[in-house]
Amino acid sequence: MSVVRSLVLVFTLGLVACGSRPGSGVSGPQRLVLLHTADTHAELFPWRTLIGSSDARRGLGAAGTVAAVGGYARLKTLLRRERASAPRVLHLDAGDLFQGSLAFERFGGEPEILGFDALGVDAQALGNHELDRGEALVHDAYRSLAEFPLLAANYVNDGDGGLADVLEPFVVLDAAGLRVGVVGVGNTSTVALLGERPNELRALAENAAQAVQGAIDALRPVVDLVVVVTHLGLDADETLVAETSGIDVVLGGHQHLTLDEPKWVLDCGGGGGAAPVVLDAWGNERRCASRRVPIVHSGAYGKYVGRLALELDDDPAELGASYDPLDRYELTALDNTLLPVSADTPDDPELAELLAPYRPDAGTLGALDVLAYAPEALERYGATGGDSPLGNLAAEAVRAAAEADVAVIGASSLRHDLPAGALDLDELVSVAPFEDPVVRVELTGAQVSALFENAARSASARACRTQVHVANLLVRFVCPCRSEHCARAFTPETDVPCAADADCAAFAGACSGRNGEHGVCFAPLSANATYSVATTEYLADGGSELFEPIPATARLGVSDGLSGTLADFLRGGAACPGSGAACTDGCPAALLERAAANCASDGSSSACADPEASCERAVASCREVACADATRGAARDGRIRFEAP
Amino acid sequence: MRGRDARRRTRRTHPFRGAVNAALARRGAAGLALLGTFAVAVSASGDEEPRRTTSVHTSLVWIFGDDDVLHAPGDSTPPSPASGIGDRPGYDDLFEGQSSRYTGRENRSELDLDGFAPGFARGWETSAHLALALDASSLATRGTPVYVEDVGSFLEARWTFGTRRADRPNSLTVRAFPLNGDRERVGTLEALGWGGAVGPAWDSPYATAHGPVRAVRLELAAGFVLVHVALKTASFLEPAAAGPSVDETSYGVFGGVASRWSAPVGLALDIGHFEHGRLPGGTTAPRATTTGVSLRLHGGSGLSEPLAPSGFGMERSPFDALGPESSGARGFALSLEGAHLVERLWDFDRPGASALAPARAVALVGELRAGALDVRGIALARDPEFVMRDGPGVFSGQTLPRAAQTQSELGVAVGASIELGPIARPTLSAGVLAPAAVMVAAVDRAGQPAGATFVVRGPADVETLPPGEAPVPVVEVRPGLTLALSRLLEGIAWLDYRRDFNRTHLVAAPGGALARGFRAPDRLGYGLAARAVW
Repeated sequence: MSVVRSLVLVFTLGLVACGSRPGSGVSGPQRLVLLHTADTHAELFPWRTLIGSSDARRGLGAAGTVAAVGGYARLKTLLRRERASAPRVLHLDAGDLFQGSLAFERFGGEPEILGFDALGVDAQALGNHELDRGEALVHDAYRSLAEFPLLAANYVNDGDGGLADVLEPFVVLDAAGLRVGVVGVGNTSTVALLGERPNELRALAENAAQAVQGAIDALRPVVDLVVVVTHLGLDADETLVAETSGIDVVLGGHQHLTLDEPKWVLDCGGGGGAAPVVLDAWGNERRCASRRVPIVHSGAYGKYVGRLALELDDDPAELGASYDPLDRYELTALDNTLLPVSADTPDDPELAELLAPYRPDAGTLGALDVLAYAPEALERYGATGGDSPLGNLAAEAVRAAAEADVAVIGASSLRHDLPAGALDLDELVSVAPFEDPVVRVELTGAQVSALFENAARSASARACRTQVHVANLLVRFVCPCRSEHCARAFTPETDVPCAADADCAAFAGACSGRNGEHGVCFAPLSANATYSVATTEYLADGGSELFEPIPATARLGVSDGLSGTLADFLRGGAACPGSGAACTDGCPAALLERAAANCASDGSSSACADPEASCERAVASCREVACADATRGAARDGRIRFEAP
Repeated sequence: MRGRDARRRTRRTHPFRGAVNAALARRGAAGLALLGTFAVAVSASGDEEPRRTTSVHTSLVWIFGDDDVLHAPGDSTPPSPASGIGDRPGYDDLFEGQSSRYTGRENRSELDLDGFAPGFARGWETSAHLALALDASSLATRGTPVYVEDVGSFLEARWTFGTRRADRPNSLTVRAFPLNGDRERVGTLEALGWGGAVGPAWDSPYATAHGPVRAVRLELAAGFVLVHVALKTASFLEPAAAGPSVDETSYGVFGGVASRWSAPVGLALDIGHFEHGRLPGGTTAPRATTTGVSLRLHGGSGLSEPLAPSGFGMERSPFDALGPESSGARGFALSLEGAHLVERLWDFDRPGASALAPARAVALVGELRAGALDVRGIALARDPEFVMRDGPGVFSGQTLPRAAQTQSELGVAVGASIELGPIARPTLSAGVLAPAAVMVAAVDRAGQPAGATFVVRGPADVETLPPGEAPVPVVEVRPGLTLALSRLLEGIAWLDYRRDFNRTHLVAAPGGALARGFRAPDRLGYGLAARAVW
């Protein structure tokens, strides 16, 4: 059969070689504007956030103030303006349209997709949160509502049905004569279902680089430009570019990063080697020449619209010796700007009208800006300083945002305890008021151990109270510290059950169990292994003398501040167990109190008139609102302990 | 041409309702066999109370087997674990969905609630029919939703007029589908149907409708001809000139004329025009449409029309039981059906312009019965555009690039069975199918091939092969044996061998990631089934 295939290959290629490349609708220098959004997370309406200095610089508002930003209707105003200002505009979204606000909980994605239709989105990459409620919702909602394609080249059909009916690997868009091949890449690292066969998605995850290379190879003969829109995260985007050849632009998402300038990455193996190659979809080597490829990320929750203005050319004389005419247009220049969706941006009235039925009434939970409910007050200090409910919650939030192996933050980042009851942004800003961006760094085990030695000496000077909070780590300090080594740190490398550290003595580990409860053995850090560590910029700069100062170029910015990171983390949690049983219970009572205050200032809503209905709403809302409890890390659990010398 | 729905039910009722129904239904002329019974039996008095009948048709199938004994589960798509009990996607026939939307392996109940009352005016009869199907397989797993779907409920008013011939009454019938009218479409064979739901997956241009599809049909049976016209409507979300997208109605109109004479040759001609939303691209985008014509010629002796193979195998579909004339009948029948469509799509090679892209298909179905021997065959050819007619295909919403080469789907399948007494029926089926393909190929500056070959097996079933690869014909052979234990229960055994060089799967690549590779082509499966149909 290989003979047959070979003959066909020769015949086919012979035909093509004799022919010419299909004519494009355009030739000569061209301009294209790509509008880019990502991780809008069901934020249909403006939402309140603390404006940081970066936000202020970008025009989102005045630094240090809390402002309502984002919202589809404002987004539409900006997009409409951009589309009117340039003849050739495409709007691509990098996924995570779903999940993040009560709108998704209540309406199951309908307003988000209808809103995207109205925004004129040309294509969307599949985000991991699109799959939060399983395949059926994606299938039904996108199939009947979406006027734009949902893309994921790295999701390969594994049987009939499932996502195969709604997913496409790529789409070819007509941008006023310029044929733009848009390849989508879905997130796979957080979609556990993809590891099973069969699974309800009827899909398997293909190596992203090879899947994209396959799509590029397929499109090269018939398109002018290849844009890849991904939901992988920045570092994975960089890997993707380095392991492929032929991408012109990457528009990314997933980590909620906001890049003011594109990150330029060399494709085709990163430029190394005398004869660089990449692997195609079939694992075959493909020779290529390195080019610089820009990656842009434009933030999350609709705070900004990325605007990437591309200058393109197809003139071999301009593009140099490595230019391959098969690729048609190459990027010659670009201008990247972030358009703020600020409180000053007027609503598009038509989209506002479309979304009006989905806007929560004044007396309902959605209008209260409640992010979560805390059954108990969360203290920032524990008996050992570091192992505290609020500190642990914050460390877990930072780690989740950075998708890091471990997290280490300073106790000085948290200024107050978090009160029990309904929590809104004001409380979080009060607790974490500093504009101290969250960053991710890569450290060796030895470097992590060194920082805990510093922490141990600091704790020793503070009567055995540490100033660090950690996540996904166990730390054992010796206090008072009278030797060179006073700290041991452990990571969850085993699944050996245990009740105490002694049960893990066989491999010098520590037990995550506390007070006789069972846990698992954590293993000591490996000195030469590399760990991704989420922390704050203050600590990374060497603040509190924990870290050796880490160069700015070695940091990956994750978020602008701890309050926003906490807000994002809390919103993603489940409701408190047993919450919403009766109106007089903690959560409903807290919400009713809020609603009463809200109605006092805006009594026009019918939701304010009926106390009985208000009670029912509060009870129902408490089944939806996230819980700030031990399930999110808000508890003392013995992760940091002190031992006598 | 009559809806596939009615044909299915007609066939199903043969064993239960007798020769009159069968004769009526076999001619495909005057509605359901059930209603035919009433048409003959009921006087034109309007004072009678409505009659109500309820019937349930059920099939339960237990299967032990393995769809692929040659591969480990991870080496096949879909995965094929070791032998076990239960249905599997891998038992699918090569030609499944070409001629029947049933696989023969359904655990399924269809509930028919019929009402009938003579009209107050002379010659008028009225009826209503609620047809619900329950996918009983979903009962097997806790937590799995149980799907109940409408399978052709309708309201009907019929006026019988003129000279009455018991076998060919003149009538004017209005049939309205209040629940789901998407199976009202053009075309007899599932593989050649268009403008509505076809095949086991119910592929349809209306699959992306924002709500149900509803239909009404007006049918005139007079003399030697049957004429019908029908209207379908469905709402699609479309961009509005001002404001956000809105639901807008898409219309489908179709109709045709068919012979109903008793001569050995018959014909049917149908035309249709179906809108299904708007092409992507905003308010200025043209409406997505499918327009076409289908022609069917059939003839024979002893058999009024051929029964296409049910799936690829000869194991009977539970809802496609053969009529009484199958036993000991002698005769043959041939049916030639062709369809020529034009679809409104964006022109890939002329940005900003739309084009009417042709999509063609033709099939020949034949059946020969000689006593205990029954031989059926199908030959079909469909171009890739036709195979992709109900889905996004390769380049969503666009014509195929002129630079792309295409290969039509070509297939031939033959199945034979012989009745060995009332109990045993050995069967043998074999077929070869060259799948449709779209090939884009070029050579880059370094002399390396670029492009891809897209093997198109269905609207959402597109498999990518390396550039320059041509799809290789797929071969399947399937011997089987059916043993009837009673009129209720039968046992079925089969072996299934398939050789398919075009299947790819993901294989472990260095670093633990999955990359594409060709699957070993040979597949051998077997099954032992017990099936009850009642």
